[in-house]
Amino acid sequence: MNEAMIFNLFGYISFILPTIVEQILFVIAVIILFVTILLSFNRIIVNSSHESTVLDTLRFTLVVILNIATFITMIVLINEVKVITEDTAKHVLITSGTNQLQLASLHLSDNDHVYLLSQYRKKYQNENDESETINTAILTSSIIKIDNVQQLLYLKPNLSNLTVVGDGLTKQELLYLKQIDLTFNLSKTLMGPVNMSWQKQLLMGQILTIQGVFQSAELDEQQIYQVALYDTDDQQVDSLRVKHDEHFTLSLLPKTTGLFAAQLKIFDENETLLVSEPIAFEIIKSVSPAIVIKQSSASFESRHIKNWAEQQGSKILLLTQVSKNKQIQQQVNFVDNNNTAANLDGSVLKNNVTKLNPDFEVLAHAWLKDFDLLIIDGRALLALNSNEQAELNKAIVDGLGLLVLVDESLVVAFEQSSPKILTQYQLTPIPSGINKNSNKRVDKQSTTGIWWENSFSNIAELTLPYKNINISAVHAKTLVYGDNRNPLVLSTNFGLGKVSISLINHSYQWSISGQKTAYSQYWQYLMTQMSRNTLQSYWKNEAGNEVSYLGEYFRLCAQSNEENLTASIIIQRTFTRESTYCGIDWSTKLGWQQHSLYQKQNNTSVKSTLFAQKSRYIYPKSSWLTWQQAQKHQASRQVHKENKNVRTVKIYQPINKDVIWLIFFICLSFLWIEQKFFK
Amino acid sequence: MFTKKTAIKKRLNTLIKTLKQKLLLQNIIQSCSWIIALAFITSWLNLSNIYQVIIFFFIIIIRLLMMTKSARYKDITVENLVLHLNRQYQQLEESMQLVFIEDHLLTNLQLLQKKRVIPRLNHILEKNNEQLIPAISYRKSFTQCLIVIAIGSILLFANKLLFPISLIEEKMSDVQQQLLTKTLAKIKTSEITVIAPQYTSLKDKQYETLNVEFIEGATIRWQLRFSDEQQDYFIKFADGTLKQLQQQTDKSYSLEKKIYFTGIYQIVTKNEVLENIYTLTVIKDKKPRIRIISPKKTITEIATNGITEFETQVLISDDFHISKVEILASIAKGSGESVKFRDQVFSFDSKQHLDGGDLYRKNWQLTSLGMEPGDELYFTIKAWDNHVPTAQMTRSATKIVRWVEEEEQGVLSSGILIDFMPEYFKSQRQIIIETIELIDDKKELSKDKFVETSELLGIAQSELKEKYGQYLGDEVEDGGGGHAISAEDIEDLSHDNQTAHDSSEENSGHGHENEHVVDTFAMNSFGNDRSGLSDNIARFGHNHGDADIGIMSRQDPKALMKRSISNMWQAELHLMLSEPDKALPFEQEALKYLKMAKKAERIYVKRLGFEPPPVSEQRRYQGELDDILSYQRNQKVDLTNSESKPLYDLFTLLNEKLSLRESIEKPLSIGQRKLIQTVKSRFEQLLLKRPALITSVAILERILLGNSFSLANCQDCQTKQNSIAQLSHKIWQILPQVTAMPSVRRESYADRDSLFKKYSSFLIDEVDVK
Repeated sequence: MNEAMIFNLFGYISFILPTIVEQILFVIAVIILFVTILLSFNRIIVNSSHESTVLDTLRFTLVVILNIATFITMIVLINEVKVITEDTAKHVLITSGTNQLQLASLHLSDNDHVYLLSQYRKKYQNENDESETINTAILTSSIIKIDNVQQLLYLKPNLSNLTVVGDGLTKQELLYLKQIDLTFNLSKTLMGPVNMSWQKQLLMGQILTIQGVFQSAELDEQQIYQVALYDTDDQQVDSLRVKHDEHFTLSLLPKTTGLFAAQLKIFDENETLLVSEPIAFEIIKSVSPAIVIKQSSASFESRHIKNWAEQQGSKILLLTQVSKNKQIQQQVNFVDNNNTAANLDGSVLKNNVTKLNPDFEVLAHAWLKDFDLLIIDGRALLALNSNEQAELNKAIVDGLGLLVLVDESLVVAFEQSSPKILTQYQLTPIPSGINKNSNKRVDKQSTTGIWWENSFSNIAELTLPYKNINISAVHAKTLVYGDNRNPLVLSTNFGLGKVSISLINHSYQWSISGQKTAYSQYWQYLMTQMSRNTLQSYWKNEAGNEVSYLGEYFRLCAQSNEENLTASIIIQRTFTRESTYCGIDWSTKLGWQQHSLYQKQNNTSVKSTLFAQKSRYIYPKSSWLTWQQAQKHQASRQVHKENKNVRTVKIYQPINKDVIWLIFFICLSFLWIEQKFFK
Repeated sequence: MFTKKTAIKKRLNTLIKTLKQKLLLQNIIQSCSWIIALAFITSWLNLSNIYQVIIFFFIIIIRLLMMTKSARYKDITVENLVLHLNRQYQQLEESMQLVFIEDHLLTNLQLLQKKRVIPRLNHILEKNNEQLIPAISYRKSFTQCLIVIAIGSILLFANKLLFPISLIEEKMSDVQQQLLTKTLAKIKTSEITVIAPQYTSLKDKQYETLNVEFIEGATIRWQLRFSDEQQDYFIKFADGTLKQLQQQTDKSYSLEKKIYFTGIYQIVTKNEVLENIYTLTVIKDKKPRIRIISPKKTITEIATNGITEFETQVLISDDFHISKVEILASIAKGSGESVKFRDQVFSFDSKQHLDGGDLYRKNWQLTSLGMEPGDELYFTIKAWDNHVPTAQMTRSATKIVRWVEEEEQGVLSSGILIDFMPEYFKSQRQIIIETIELIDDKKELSKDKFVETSELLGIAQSELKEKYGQYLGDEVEDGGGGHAISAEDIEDLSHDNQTAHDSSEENSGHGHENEHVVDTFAMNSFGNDRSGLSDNIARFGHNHGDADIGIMSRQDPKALMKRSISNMWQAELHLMLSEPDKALPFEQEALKYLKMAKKAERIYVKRLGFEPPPVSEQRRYQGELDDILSYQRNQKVDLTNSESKPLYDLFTLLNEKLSLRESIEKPLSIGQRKLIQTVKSRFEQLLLKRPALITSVAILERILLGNSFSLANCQDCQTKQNSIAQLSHKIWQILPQVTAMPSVRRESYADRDSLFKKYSSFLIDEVDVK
């Protein structure tokens, strides 16, 4: 129990004894004062060599007064004493975006306080102090430069009101000023892109999709602008005409892995460049899945999937039924030595062709666990015996992905009873011939444009035939859909794995008609959604609408199944998830920064294995000004809306102790003189 | 006495001072070996001289300070000196200390002794000064220094012997330093004269820059002045050839060479390479361009009795001159197996010079060529430019002129011959063409023929309509206002029409012809509607009761097809009524909607045919097929053998350097050199088609020469980073379109999470139980 003792004297003086120690010392000091007075009395009056006169009395009184004064000044010097003042001064915080007009409209007096929030710190590379661009000469009050909002609170702990001028503050910064009555004098809206969002890390072959909203300056809302995306070679790859408050989506397909910065440019109708902002992203190589394709007969579809995947280095096992009890096994990218088979009895039929591997003749969890995705057609699925079905079931629960290509046999089988593995699905064929309800002719196979998440907009011009069947499942995710939003590929969770069905069996038509990029993107997307989750360690990506600016801190998290991890920043395991490690990084340099995740050798700080690497781009504060302004304006408006209660707070100001020192010194001097003179 | 004592004391103090100084000096001398050792260490650490001096002084001062604090130094006092002197000199009789005691404190004996000692002491102090102050032994220090020098030298040499690279590096850097400080042999002035080949008639051009662009086969004359006029200079070309520059009387160096290919070159001396890499960009002499202005079409047909004359106009242009132009013609006579060909070469009649080239004209007379109806003339234009040594020839497309025979002639309309060999299905476009022709030919054709042709077109339209309608699932019924009519009905109808027409011909003029036809038709089809109202409704109104077109969406192909079919109905109706002029707009509308439907979903007409029932699992793979084997095939795809892989690898390397600001000063590894060499070869192969790549080739060459990305030897590079960025951009342009790679799934759970582990084991248990 250590409560501070606060004495409010005369209504406007506050005297504080914060701890028990000070309180005891105060008591002792009072006792000493009384003893001193007593001793003085004894000295001056009682033990005087002559009879006490009026002078002696006066002298004694003076000594007492001086002692009390010394005591009081000493107490004031040692302890905290404050005086209530009426703070009529105005506090103004100038943020970036403030223009001269706003400064002139402030009407500040000499008593008012102006704080200049300097957005930059010169120690960071290549950044200028923006505050120097504002001419603050017109302000008569003194200006205090602060680096951040917390500094303001440190300087003025009793701040009760603040006028924020300019773009305003971010959400995080406004949190610090929650208890303060804020008034906003916001800057004029800038023209440019806002609410931007794009993926910071993509796999090779994925399309970079940039979304945003165009904001024009005030009084300019009907003007049409062109928003264009330029690649790293400064070639325009996509563009759109927009007006104020219109959404835009631009796409770009990078050619290879690496770290890139595209440019988002805005032109007016005269093709004058108005805004240019960098869009940084990283393209990484993906980890190839090991694929098994089991088919009841050879097909173009599987052949093209195999051709595509093998060219990218994937391990593929193709099991094809060629006759009643005959099958062909093709192993691609399995062995290390060139084209020599890992045959069991050493026999070779002809060049790189051997007898069947009996392990692969039936499906078994033992070998399926080494693969990430199983593609199987309906007929082959129905032909599995109960043991194989159970093994397949186990493998999927353990994480294997399954993709079933729907064919006629499966549709017919569904009419009686669905296979166990597909019990969550419903397949409702639309009968071919005349649809009596609509009087339309319906064929077993139709053609439609194909859509999936983040597919290229012109993909819709590329069509594919699909089975005219209604598919649905509880808690299923539609991976691919047609022109009428009809699902073409559905996926559901099954234990740790995924079970998916597809109505598209002729995607190879894209491959043979020169649309190899679209074909590869389609299958890449499906595989990233369906295959086994084999990634052991990786850095988590930041949100699409997050951007790191110079001088700000950023939370970085990594996911790993390993122990003893270390990184280029200090990371700690999170409380809730053992596999997640997070840390804070301060952006101190512009451009790309790399973060690496290592495993430490036991009980040492030596890094051994590199698990994951991630690159993050640090933007200068001078980029995305419109977006930054929009975020600050939004935060300011929100605070303004919520801040309805205006508190009146009594302000206590500490007194000026210089005078007290002087008084203390004078009193002591007089006491000493008295002692000396009258000794 | 007092004076003597004072003097002795003074002398002793001086002596003590001297002793102390000597001690300190000795200490410093003894420190020499340490200083020498430190000198070796600091030079090994490559510290600068100033630091070495500071360290030496610091050590000396510390040593002196330590010395002054040491017991040995402090022991040099008067008392110890007295003791020392007493021991050293017997004549002092161990009584020197008496000198410093006051007389009144001494006994008589001591006084006497003191009086005896003082002169002896004086004597000692005056005469034996050198003995009193011990000499400093330099031998020991010298020996120590020698030992330290020897050890240090051995270590220094041993270091250099064991680690020769650093020596080499020093040498290299020395050489480089020399190279730099020597300022090599700089090019003071340069003048390049480009002498174009004579046939081009281009004037000689002079350049001051060493990077030049010129026509293929030009002679390049270098005239250079160097700062060092004593050396021999050579030009080293990209193919490795070395040509010496000849020194002229005015001390300049010159060389002439004919260049045919784009490449890079350097100026070298016997021992070193000068400065920069330069480019020679060759512009190829293009082949002549031929544009045939007339005849426009590939096949021109001349009627049997038509005009057998026609003119050929050809515009031929070249970047320099055309040397020769000729027409190679073949005349085909006869048909079938008896066809004979005769080749002949012609020249143009006239030539006119225009801005874009030369216009050549020739008038043809088929009869003068010996041609008859049924013969064909094939001709092509050949043009040669004046390229030396071999002229470049361009050959135009072949044009065909066909003089048509009588029998082949069908309905001609605007020069288009319509072949009346009927196809299985006439296309809509064909129907339109024939309708237009029928309209045009109305006056020439007899009535019966007109009606018959119109009705045949109607049948064709009907069949086409049925074909598309079947695809859409419509039954063959009303599609917007008409009925399907069979061929027999059509014949009956036409007969009826004819009868009606004949009978009414007396009563009414031709103007009512159509009405009667319509009336009859209407009667047969709709019941006894004599007013033609229903027909008008059918013709112009929209029958809402029938086929549901629905809301026509631009993107809905079925709706578009339906609209097309309804127009086909109308067209068919009018054609059957021998009103091709009224049918034509509907036919065109039908074609328009058909095209829109095709565009909307690229619908093609499905081949209608027999669709076998699906094979059941029991019936599959029946039969004795013993030759079918079960086997396993293994394949390994070699991913390293891709043409684009080196480009990707180099791009990735450059991207890392630029993005992550990695050091570009580091020397290249063997693998990197090989990669750059491969990419450079690739670029050189592309130089023929894309001479602009020469800049990138030069940058790659500079990187290889400098053995790093720093491009230290490039004076006219804008900045090193810009050159690397430029190279990176060029590679990006050449890279092929990306193919997406297969990828595993990425989820946020991980095996180690305890919750995940529990769920995983739960699932497996569940499966096992099942």
